[in-house]
Amino acid sequence: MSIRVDSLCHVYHPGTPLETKALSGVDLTVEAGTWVAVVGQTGSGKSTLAQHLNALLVPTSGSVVVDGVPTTAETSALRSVRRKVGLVFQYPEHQLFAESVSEEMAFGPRNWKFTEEEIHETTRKTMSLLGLPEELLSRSPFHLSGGQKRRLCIASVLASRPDYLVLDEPTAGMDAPGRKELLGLLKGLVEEKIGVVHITHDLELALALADQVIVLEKGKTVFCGSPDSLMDELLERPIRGLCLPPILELVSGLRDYGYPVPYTLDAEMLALRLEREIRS
Amino acid sequence: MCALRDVSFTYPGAATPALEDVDLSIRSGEWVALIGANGSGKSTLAKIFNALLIPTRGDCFACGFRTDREENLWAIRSQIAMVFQNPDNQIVASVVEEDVAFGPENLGLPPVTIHERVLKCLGQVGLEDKRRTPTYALSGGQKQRLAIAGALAMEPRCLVLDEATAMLDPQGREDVLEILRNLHKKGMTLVHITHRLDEILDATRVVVLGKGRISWEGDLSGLFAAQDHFEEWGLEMPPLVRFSRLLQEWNLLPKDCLPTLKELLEVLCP
Amino acid sequence: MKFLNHLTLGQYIPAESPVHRLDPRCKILSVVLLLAGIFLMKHPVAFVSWGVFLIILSSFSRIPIRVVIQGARPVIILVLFTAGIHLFLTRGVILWEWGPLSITKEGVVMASRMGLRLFFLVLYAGFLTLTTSPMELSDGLERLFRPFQRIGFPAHEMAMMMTIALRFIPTLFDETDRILRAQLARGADLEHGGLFRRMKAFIPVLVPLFVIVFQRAEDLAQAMEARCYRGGTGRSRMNPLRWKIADTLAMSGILAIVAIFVLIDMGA
Repeated sequence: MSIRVDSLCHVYHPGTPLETKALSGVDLTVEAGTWVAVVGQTGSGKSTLAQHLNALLVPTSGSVVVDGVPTTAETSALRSVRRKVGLVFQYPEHQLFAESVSEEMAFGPRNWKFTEEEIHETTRKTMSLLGLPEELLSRSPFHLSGGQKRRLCIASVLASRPDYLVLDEPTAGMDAPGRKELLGLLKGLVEEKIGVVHITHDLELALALADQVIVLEKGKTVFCGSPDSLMDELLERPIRGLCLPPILELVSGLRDYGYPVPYTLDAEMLALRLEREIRS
Repeated sequence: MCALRDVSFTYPGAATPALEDVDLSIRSGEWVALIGANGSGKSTLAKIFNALLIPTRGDCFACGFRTDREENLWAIRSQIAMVFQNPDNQIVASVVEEDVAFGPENLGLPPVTIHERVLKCLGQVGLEDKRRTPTYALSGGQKQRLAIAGALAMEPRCLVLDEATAMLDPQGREDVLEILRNLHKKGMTLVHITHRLDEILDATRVVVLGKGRISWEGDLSGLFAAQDHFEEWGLEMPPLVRFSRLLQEWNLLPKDCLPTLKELLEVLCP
Repeated sequence: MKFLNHLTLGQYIPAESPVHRLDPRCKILSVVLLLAGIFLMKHPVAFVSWGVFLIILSSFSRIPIRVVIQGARPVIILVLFTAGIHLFLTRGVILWEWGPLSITKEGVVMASRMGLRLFFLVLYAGFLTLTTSPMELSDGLERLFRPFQRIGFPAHEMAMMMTIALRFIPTLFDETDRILRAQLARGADLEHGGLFRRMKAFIPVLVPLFVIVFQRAEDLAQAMEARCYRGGTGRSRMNPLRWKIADTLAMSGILAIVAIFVLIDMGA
């Protein structure tokens, strides 16, 4: 049970003056029940990769195989892939359209031919998973608060019971408490054995939550491994295309100066280690 | 520059006021960071400054003019310019230089003056080589810089940024902040509304809003000293700030050292 | 990702040429004159002269004739359809018959006349948009309609609407694409089913688009007000339109040419 990406290449507008190579030879495995973070700057290809995972795009070369089904298969097999891999775009509030929350939640499942009973069940379960109270069901989705809208959008994708969930910057535009709450809820999905793919440019967030991190730069993989090994790698050499959060830049500067402090996101630990170095 | 006295504001049809009993003054040359969780009323307050919204109770004076008099709107808005959150929803023209010219054209300025201002403002935001670029081809960060240029073209004394960095990626955010630093150095009054504490490190004054009221007001060091209230105010202490406060406690860092990357490296690695 | 050819219908191609430098009002009025001339003429040979004139214009404007003709591509179906209607539905001396369909001599004449008229209409109108930027066009139209403001015609508002609409076409393209993908990801099926079913399937794409557009209208209005916009009164322009001698000469030239062509046509 996994998504396997092998030497994936994607070219937009091939053969025209607008031809761009968005992905070159990307490898990735997403196991069920794990959290994978895809990190990169704008233009690194992360959004393109996201769309390959649920067959919105098909590979120019290489392959994407979801639970044994390649995404170049015929339409009927493709639709099953799309049901298995839910995709939540950035600022998903822009996809809300229904008259009521319950209609919005039912849209996905109905497209996948769930029975009315199944729809009712999955709506109830998913809304509770994302902390949305049942009394919202009859309300218009446009009358919810910003945080509720965001969670509704994610819930409406989850309602189709995917095995994997790809989220492109799910906390974009949210303030600190909102972000913390949402990420906590999403972390709970991993316990439900859902494979989460978190697309972000925020390395700090990625490192805090992921089991596996892949860093993309201009369509190529520049790192793939665990958060700890990413930190170890930074000890050896800088990683291209990685916009370091300020605290890691500080570590970098301190190390260049001669203080052998470790790469860590923990401000307290960094302060303690530096104090020890200075006093000795 | 701007004075609010006992200002309250309720959106038409809303049950609760968005702002309540706000007393606030913005002085010339200040960089005021207006922070708070989403829904605390920050954007509403921003729009009161330049008379896009009129207080339902209380008075607001902008540059000495009452904001509730229609005849004052022109004068107020040419001195207090605003940049909004959504980069796309404030750009009017198809070409970069035409959008910067929009404000001066509204002011009825002669073409020569407009040309001068457009060139100058594009230079201030680093978009001079994109003068004739179509606006849809710009990145989010570039669009916000264009919006700033358009606001600067009014030659305001004060710039209000309503969550202008919220929708940008880290590079875009840094580009905008760098422009703000340069503007402030040259004497521009800035009111910067944000929920990210790592963006306020150059502010001269901080105002915390919570549920439509002012929860706290003071300078940066005062703000970080009040960190026990952060959870209640919906704020998150940036790691660099936590780091420098610890070092300050252990007397390894001078008390007046700013918790920015640049300053920390300068002091710790001379 | 980003489509670069949004304004494919006569996309503005910036260049330094005598035609580009003409005042947009001159160009708009000239095109109106040319179109009047095209529709007044009847002889097929006349169209050859219009073709020659087009080639001359294209060299004056430094735009290759190939590009000008490409601008007519989207409309070629309409042209052929119109020609077809005239071809099969005009009565007269029958040349060819097959069942209910018949082609008459008059039909051939009408089809070629109407087809060519439409074809040249599109080419000359396309010429206008190729050599005039959207802002210039909107300024030109505003100035031309300004005298009608006295009787209540909203010339400035119309020009501003045009400018803003053109500005947002590429943005809306991208947003529609994004919404489409999001709904496809949720299992929407926009390809199968009868006409009614497919139209209904587009509701989840259209509703969000409308919401975006209305929100945008509100935000944009505020942003414009914040920059002291208050309609057309007292507004200046960065590049004000200036009618030059070249414009007078150009217009006189066009007027003369059209007059000569029409007279020759009437005489023949």
